[in-house]
Amino acid sequence: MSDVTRSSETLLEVVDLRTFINTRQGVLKAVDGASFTVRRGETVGLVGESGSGKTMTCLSVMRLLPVASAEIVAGEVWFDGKNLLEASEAEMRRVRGRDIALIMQDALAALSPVLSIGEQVGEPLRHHFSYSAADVRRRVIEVLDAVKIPRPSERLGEYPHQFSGGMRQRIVAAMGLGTSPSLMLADEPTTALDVTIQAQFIMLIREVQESTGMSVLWVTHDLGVVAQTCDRVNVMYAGRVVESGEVRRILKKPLHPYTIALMESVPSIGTKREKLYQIPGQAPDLRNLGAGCPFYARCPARMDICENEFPSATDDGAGGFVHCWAVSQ
Amino acid sequence: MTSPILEARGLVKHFTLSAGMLGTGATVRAVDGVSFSVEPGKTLAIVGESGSGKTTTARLVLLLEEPTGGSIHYQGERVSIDGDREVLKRYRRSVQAVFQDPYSSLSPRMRVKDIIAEPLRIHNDMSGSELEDRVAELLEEVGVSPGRAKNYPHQFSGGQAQRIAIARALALRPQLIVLDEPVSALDMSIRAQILNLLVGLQARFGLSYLLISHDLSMVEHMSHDVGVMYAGQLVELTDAERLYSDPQHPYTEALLAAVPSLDPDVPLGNIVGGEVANPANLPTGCRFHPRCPLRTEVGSPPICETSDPVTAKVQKDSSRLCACHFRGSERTGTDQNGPERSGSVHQV
Repeated sequence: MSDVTRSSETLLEVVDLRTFINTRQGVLKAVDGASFTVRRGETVGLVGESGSGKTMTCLSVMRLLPVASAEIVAGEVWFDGKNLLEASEAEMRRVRGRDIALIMQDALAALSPVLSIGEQVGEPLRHHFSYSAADVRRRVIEVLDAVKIPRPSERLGEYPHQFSGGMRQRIVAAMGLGTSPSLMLADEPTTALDVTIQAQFIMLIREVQESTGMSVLWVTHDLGVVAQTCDRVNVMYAGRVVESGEVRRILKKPLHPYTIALMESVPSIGTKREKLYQIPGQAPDLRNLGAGCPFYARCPARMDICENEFPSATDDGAGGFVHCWAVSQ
Repeated sequence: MTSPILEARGLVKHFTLSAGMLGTGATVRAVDGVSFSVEPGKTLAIVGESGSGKTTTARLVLLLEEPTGGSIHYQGERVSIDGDREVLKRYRRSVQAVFQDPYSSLSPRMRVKDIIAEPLRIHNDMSGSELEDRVAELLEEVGVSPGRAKNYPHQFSGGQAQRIAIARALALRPQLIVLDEPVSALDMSIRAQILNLLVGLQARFGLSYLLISHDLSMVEHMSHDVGVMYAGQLVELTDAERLYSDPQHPYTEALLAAVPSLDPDVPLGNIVGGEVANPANLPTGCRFHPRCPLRTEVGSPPICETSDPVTAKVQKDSSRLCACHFRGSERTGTDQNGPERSGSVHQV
């Protein structure tokens, strides 16, 4: 699939996505106008805190919304030239797990305890391709080997509980990688891992990308993981992408007051600070968002206009953008 | 030098796996000879990955587990679950804990005011308006509006609930608080609020903290001294500044190298392979030797497989330690298999 002439093309483009959840207390705007792109071969970060809409964005792209009351109410999800929001369910079944892989934080929950890892890693292959049993087995061994499971041909009959946490997450990655997807949605894949195991996983995904040209949308709340994995970053707050840009620009010269505040509030090795910057208050109630900027109440740079009107995007001069009145004025 | 407020001497905790499903009846050496001391008004952090024994160490200090060996000394007096009742009572008042998840450490069926009042009723016989005033005062100290004392824990956000857990820990004016991953369950923007609160309370009340965490960046920010645990043992123990600027033990180096830097131009360091040692089936000799890059560098000498550097290098002064045959200058152990000084490493 990795055609050199198309390598800089956009693979995924999410335009003004809105995913709402109907609750008894009103409509919860989980994703409220998110827009971003992922190019071929690129790793793009989706950063935010819980409730910022990162996971719902991923699930909306896959059209795998968790509850019956959740609904994609507007937007477009262009993947490889096709708007997935207009695709039929049958078409989506072909995309899921073949062209787009999804790996989640909790490996133990993603794996069935009663099936061997060989069966689970082989499942998407049997589902999507007309492989013979021998072909499936050969590919499963190949993929398990690629994710560095030792002695894969001996161990593919074993069950998830027989593996350590780090190995389980690599097995989950193997489930996604077997079909050589062009895009992997990785939702906090290392959050449950120890730091040395996380580093191994980051290097592993990087190796896979180098050999296959796969794109990754890496969802995380950890700015260090972003710095070490991503080419570009989207910062989400209250269901919107409030800032987007090249990773160095975002981490070294953040423009949005929320991004700046996050950078200042995180302890970082080697930069001893007397006091961490603390963002006052809490994230807003997503059932009660006003027309203004959702960060207004906590923002140190707020102005009157911010309360009532959400700013349009300002170009950062380097291919990114930021939604902030303080920057645009 | 002041005398430590808390001392752990050679703490050991072994669990025996039931000979059921796993069939072995194997011994899990969760904590295996851990010694440290907490100085008054200071923070000692114990860092390690899952399975390193850091939480079991905290539970031993809190007397929630009975040690298989070793002892705990508080202000010079030995404390134990079946020890002197009066000493034990004093200890339980002076040593409090804050755990990771406030929603599971706070009773969901008690109002906040009752949660905070409970220790005051039990230990101080407080009641009536005196009790109410004290609860309000405590809530103010941690930044929660006393007007919300009638609410239940689930009506608060994670950060607010953790503040309530801290207020409960402060109720008896303790001298030492064990903080077991106090911000790991909280959102990024809330963590700084809680960390600043803890630092402020320490300065205000002269509190000592025993901080248990896997987060090396947070530990650097919070701690005066740091102990690094691996597979049930402390492999390095020193002051925070030295640990971060000049780590001695190869495992400490590996841990620090694996922490992703916020600067994209500072790549991950040398990544150690392999998995954390299984405490039910530990490697012989140095427990880190199967993963150790330094061992390979010095030509895989047999001593790493045969001799446990933690036992070989036990020191009188437990304030500084590096349990490696080839690192750390303060060798006091006499191990005839090992080189005399770390300087001879390169000749091996």
